[in-house]
Amino acid sequence: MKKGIRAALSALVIGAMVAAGVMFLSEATKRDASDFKYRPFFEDDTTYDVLFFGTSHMMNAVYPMELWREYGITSYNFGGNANSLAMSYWLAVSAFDVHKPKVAVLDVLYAGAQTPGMDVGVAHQSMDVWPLSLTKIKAVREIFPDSEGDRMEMLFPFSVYHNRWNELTAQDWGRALGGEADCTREKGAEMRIAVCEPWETALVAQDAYYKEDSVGLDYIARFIELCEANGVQPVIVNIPFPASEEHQLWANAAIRLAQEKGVPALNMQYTGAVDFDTDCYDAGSHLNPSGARKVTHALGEFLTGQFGLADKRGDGAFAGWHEDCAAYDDLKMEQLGEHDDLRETLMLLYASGFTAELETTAAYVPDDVERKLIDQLGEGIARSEAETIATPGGAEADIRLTIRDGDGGEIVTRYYDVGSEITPIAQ
Amino acid sequence: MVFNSFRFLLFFPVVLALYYAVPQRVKNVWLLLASWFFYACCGARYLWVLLAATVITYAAALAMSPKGAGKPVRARRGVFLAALLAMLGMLAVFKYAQFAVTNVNIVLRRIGIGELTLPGIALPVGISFFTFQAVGYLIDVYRGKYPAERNFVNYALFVSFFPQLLSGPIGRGGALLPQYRAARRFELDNVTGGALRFLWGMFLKVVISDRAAILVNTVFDNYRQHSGAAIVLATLMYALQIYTDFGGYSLMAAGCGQMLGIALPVNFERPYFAVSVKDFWRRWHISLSAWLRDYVYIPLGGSRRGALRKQVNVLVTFLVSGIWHGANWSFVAWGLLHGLYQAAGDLLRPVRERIIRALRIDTGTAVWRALRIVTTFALVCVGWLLFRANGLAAGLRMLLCAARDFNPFALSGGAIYALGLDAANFSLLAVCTALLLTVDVLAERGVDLRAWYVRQNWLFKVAGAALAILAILLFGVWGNAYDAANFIYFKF
Repeated sequence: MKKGIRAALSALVIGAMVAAGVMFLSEATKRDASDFKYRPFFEDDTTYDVLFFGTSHMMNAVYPMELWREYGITSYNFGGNANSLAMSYWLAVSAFDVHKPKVAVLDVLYAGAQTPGMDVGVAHQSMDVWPLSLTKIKAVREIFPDSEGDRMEMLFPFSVYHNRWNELTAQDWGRALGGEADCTREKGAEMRIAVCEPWETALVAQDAYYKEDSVGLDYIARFIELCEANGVQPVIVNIPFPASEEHQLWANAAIRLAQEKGVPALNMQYTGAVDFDTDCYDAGSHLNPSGARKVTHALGEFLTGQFGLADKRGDGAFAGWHEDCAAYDDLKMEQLGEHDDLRETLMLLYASGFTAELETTAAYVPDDVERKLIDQLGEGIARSEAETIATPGGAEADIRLTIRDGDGGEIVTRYYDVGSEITPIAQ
Repeated sequence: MVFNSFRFLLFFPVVLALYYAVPQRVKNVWLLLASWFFYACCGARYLWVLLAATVITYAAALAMSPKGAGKPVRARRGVFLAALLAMLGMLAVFKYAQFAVTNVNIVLRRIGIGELTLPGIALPVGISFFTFQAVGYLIDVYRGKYPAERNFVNYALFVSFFPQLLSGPIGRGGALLPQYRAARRFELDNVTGGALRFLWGMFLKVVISDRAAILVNTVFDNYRQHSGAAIVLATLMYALQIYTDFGGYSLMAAGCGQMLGIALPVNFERPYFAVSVKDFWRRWHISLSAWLRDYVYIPLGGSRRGALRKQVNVLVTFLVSGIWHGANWSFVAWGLLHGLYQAAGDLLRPVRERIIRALRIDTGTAVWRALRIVTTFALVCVGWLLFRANGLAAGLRMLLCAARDFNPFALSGGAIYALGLDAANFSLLAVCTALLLTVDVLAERGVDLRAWYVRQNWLFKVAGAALAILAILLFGVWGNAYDAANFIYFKF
């Protein structure tokens, strides 16, 4: 008997040591994408007006810090790469446990999907930050019904991340020992910077829609029910993109479903809010910051108009948001510094609200996309022509672009050479 | 449900705790139910095969026993042969029918006659092991080595005991049945010693074997794209993989058995320290070697019927060993090769001894022993190449490539890291292999590390165990992309 108790005690001590060790190693080996995106939300104790859910379309199209700057709305973007609607639903369940916003906005990209599943590797970005809980177990069982391995992987991420033992850095160990870790400055959104020629697509009639049942539509209905059960106002949106006919029909079905349920819905595919020629990050789907500014503005107008969300910019309880906004501005400045391609720079100018002076020689004739990018800056850009332009180093250039901040101070001046393509001149 | 799966790591502690909690008289019932559940988790479809094997051999042994107690010899022999035929027939149908039909069809196609068709038959997991164990028992009872077991639970447990059910070791009734009959109480030393064995086996499997497998699979599955040097390296890695896989499994099985108070037979005795192929088979998969010796080689006449017949018997025994490993010409060739090694070793012994005398070689030196170990290992590795290759033709081509195109410099300049393992993984594998080698050398010299560990103070022991578990969790090859059901010997 005494030996039995001793054995049980030893097993308990070993179990406790192993559990503590696994927790430490889990922290050291995990990929930090999920923490990076969601930790500020889970650690924040301010009230959120709006939470945005959906896929990368949502993540790349709605910038909470711009909503704060323009409308004083507090919001967080839960959009994640390739999130199925089941994942968005369960993210909302998880989010509402922490913060109950006034409004929850869901993008309906995969409305016609016939499965709740999604790529397990991508799902880590959305789920790793959740602690192991009954909610997480239920979510994983629903999203990965067919693979026990995938379920185990999602519930115990260490089962895959331990393979990172040979790529751990001092930062990883530091994080495990309680050190600071980097996190999003965009409240969950993500700027993706490029100007890409979109796919050719034709707009389908707005009253045409996908007429079959789908798992995606079921989850949209469940999302609406979840919001209503939590006293949150649901909103269904379709973030615009160069969509195939099938995707447009799916989205129309989702908007129709929302309307049938009396839920506010906004199908931005038909509002003309964005111009795919200037606003796409990649050919088939995501919006760049120029497109995001337009979508964010349209949603800001819609949300403040429909739900009377109060402007909190003067509220001392939200002073931290001003600091967050300053950090966000630093990020935008960094982005501007990292991208010197002419089209990208013009696109970022529109997204950032900076002003610019554009001086060109006769050699520069803007193409359609560049003309649109310049035109959309309106009074934010002053154009002039010169016979010759010289860089400070004395080299000949065809374009000089001077970017100034809101106070008129010069941020950077760039020079470009117009040959078979426009190339920045190194200074 | 295999030993290195989450399910088993949940299953076993529950079985163990309840096993020591329940009264003595129901311990075996509990173990039997747990064993059947364990088997059903591996393939419920074929639980009936295990049950049928159990019932057939149990009933037949009872019908034959007790020897000479009024039963005519012919009747006993009839029962024995019928049961033996049923058991071997079952094995033949499940394991060899498809192989036979495939080969017959090759002949039929050549001579232009149609083809035989066979419904798809899956191989019940562990069938080779529990069939051989039950057949061994049947033969022993028929020979009157010990009486038939009358208690069905004890006998069913002997056939189905979950630690050894899937990959052995192939136990003997004479050694195991008395243990199932005896009372078993909780012994701290048993649980500690068994847990240490299990842990070391797990380390061998998930840290060494499954890591080596990455390189082995990379080369063997695309051997045409690799140099002779890569093939040689992959073969060496396979020797490491299969030893740590099967050795690891056997240790885990023995560890589980020990924790439950059952001493399973030793299956490995540091086989790569063997000084001859004959010695290798005294150290590798010992329970199978002993089974083949007792139930195939000796009944064939062993060495009692002349030198030539002895060599034929050796060849036949190793042919059976090869076929037992799988219905595949590679295994047949591998078995025959080992038979030939032994026959050649025997036949060339006088020549070898004459050379040793002529050159005045001192066979007592460490160098001579090391030379024999290396030579034996090299011969075994040639066999492993055929064993692992994807078919006999591929194996022969790989052998040829390794012989013709062996340039070790082909693996220099980082080329070695293009075989599936990066520098960090190679280094880790090297460190772990050095650790294994150290442990094996110490064991070969009679140092009992387990006993040393058990003697240490409590804190050292629990901290050591916890660190070992954490090291396995961190450095082991496991998780979603990894198929836990891939112990090499499960398919045999």
